[in-house]
Amino acid sequence: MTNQEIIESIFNNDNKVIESLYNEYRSHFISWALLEYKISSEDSKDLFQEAMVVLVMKIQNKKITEITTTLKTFIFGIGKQLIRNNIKLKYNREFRQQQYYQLNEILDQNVSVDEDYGIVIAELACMKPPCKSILEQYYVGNLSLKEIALSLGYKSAQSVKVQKYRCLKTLKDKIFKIKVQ
Amino acid sequence: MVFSAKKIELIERYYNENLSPEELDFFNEQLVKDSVFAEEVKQFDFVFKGIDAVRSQELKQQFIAYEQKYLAKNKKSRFMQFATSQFSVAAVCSVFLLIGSTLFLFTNSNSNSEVLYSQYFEPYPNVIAPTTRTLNQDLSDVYIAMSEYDAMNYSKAIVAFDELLDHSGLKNEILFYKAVSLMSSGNHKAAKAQLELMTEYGEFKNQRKWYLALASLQLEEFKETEHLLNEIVGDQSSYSVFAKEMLEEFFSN
Repeated sequence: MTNQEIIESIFNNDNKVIESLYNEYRSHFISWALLEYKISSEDSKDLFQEAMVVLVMKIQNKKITEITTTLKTFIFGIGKQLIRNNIKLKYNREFRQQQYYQLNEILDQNVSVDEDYGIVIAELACMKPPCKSILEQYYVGNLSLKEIALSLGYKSAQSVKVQKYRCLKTLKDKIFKIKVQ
Repeated sequence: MVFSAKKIELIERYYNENLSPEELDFFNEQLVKDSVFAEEVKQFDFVFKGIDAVRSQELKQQFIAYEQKYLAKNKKSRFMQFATSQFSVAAVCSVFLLIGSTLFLFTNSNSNSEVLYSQYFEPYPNVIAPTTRTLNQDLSDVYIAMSEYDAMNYSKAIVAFDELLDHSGLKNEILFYKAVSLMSSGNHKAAKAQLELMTEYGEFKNQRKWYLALASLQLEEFKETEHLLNEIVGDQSSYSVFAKEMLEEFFSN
């Protein structure tokens, strides 16, 4: 398969292709992280899964539409970035430990960010039909507008698209109403 | 705020970095000029990030499931290679039972053992109990120890092997099974020490080297692991296939 064919398959959420990529590069990635960065295989496995999540999401969000290197280099590049971020985080953590009050402040900020995303997750789960189905099928299930139109009985993909944006606005308004309170 | 599908589509494409250079210029211009629009963009950015967090969790679960499938599949195929090269059909059947139950325990335990190591490590099957008959040993003690080993009661097996080491004529074999029991219990340092006590060219010499390589890998002694794996490949024993595979997979960079 060429890179372009793989990108297309990932974009269409072809799970067979995604799983075969996982199986193909998994062991190489784990050994590479182990030997290059002395990261335990358990942690490298997590990092590899995160790298794959980034790859799939970037392709499905159309942030990546072509890959000019080999796919292995590309995935390992994402992994390297994740490892560097983790090392940076570790370094920052050690640095912050010397500055206790600053540490608490930063941790508090992190906690509030996580909690905020919790609002999105909770509100998405509480949405009424058809918004819940449309948003979940489109953003979480990665179905196309056409597929959603067929499954929910809409006349066209365009109708689903307009409805999807209406639902997004409802979701956003609900979240920010709660945040203001 | 008035609903406009086109506007939200534009914001979503901005979030996904899909705007053309002209659209991006226009968008940035609006961000500066229109504070209400800028606020709306900020709010949608937050919503999209939250939705991405949901999708990301979903994908992570998907990859965890792939990992479980991979490990299960890998263990099965490695076992088949090993079985065809090492044992007769009858022996394979008994080993299959042993490894099958080990696999069951493995997949159902909360063990944090290294993934790499877990791909290759299998407790070595009991092949000394029949041999002891011909060597005229004190059978009862050996059988007791090996039955604990077969039942995967490794702590009891280790105690029994320690007692046997003082008076059994099967020192090399007992040291080997004690080492494998220690590895199965997660004590790789002690296992390595037992393997090193074995006679290098005695019984189980190929097995000794293979399990020594695995123990070194688990102890993250990578130079020693690589050296041992190269030796195993050179020896052309039945483990050379695995050793070559490990060298290619983990030491080729």
